[in-house]
Amino acid sequence: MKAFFLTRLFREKVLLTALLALGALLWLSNVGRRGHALWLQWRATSTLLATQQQWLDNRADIETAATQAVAHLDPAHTFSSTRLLGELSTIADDVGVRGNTASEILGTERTSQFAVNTIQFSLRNIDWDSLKRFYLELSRRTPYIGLEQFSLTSAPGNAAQLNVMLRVSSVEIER
Amino acid sequence: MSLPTALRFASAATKKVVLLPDHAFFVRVVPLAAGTLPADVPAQVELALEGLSPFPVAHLCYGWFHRPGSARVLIYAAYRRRFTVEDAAQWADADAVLPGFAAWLGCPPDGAHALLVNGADFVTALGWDGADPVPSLIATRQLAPDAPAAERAAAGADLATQLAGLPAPKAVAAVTGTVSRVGDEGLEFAVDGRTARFAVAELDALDVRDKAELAERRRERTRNHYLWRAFQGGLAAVALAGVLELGLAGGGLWLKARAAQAAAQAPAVQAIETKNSLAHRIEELSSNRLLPLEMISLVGSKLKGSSIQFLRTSTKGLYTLEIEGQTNSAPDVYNYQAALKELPACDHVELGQTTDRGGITRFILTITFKPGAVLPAAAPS
Repeated sequence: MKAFFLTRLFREKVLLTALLALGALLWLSNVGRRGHALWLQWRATSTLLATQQQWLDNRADIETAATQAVAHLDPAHTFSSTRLLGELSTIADDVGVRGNTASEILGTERTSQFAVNTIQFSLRNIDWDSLKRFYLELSRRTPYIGLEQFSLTSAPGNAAQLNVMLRVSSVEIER
Repeated sequence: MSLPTALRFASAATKKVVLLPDHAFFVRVVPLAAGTLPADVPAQVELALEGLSPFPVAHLCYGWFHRPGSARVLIYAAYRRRFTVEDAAQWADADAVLPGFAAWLGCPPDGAHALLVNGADFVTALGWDGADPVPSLIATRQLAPDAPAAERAAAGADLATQLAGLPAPKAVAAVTGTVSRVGDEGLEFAVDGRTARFAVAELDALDVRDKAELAERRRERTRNHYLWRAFQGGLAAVALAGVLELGLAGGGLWLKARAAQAAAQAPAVQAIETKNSLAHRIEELSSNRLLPLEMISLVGSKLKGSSIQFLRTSTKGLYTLEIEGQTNSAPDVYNYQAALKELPACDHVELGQTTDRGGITRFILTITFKPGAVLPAAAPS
């Protein structure tokens, strides 16, 4: 190859060298870019696999903890999302604010052993005492029903009337 | 010769050395003034030639041999017209054009000795006195190509007399160009079982071609050297890119396998994560209840005598209560914040966005309670 190269004309040598250098530069730059992308993917995948491995390694402990978490709960007293809706309506009815309520099922997270159902429940234009009664009735259903979020605002034009927004969750044990 | 050197020479074996007949040249050994630097030798050579030759230097094909530290220089020259145009054409693509005897000059120092070199149409005597790598004498006799042995022997005997004071000359065959090798390192000749070597810089001095032309060839050689190095660099870069490309391909396959592994175990992991998350939520529902009304009652207990009105309260997590309120007395906000900080259950209080418009100050207070410090109100029986 050296003999071939050295027997070329000067301009051919320059052209060959320049073309080779340009080609090598473009190729190396392209390979470098793709290599960087591959490296980032490799790091992300490695992190993901390491995290997954941690979860898998802790599977037995988590399953034990999950079993213990529901061990003291009576499946007969747990609530599906429909039963939770009905229970909240019953409490509102008992407190006398049934007509001021609105509810929406937000979702259910489920495992093979149990599920957690979440509902957004709102009470409009109720007074403090009614809210307190509703709240205390709800508290009696603990730990089968629990509050996850609470927001209270004064009704416009009447500070004694309150609007309440609750996010309520219930435990449901699969039987 | 080391193996790498041998390979370098072998790789450039296509190059060509032209050896000219010894008898075409007149040869002189000229002493140099003490302390002459190697850089001054060419000028000394030209000066000597002007004195020795009846022709102008520009009409001569000449060269010289000198080694650093030598006290003399060997000069040889031929009238340019002794060589035909065809001869000169052959020289154009040669890497070196030398008189035949020059091949012997590159032999390693061997003390005082003498050689009688027999060529096809000449006999040349070379003598070294052992004190200097430059021969002390070189003399040639031209013979007819078909000269009888007696005539050749007589010429040899005549030359031997000129080598008086040196050991008896050893008869050797003249070197031919075909046993030479030219590489980046210089030139090598296999001569009488030994290797004569010349560095590239020495070759320029030994070469009998026009010195300006040689200088141009030297520049071209340097240029070619750098271009070849650049070309080699390019080739190396391409090779590196190829290796990296293969590495990328291998890495891609490996990554694909790892991604497939991650995808395969994702459902199982997701199930464990969900179970863990729900177990924690159930745990919180059982033991860490959100107590918003108890929190509101606690912060409300510090409102006595204050002009503050609550507009909105909301929980953030289990232990934080955010209050949006208003007052027509701005100092009450700071007094209220200070009062809240005194609550034993309170961990810290932050006053957020505060605006004042038309004499009404609106503010946001974020109160964080200590875990377990807020107790549930008694449930109705």
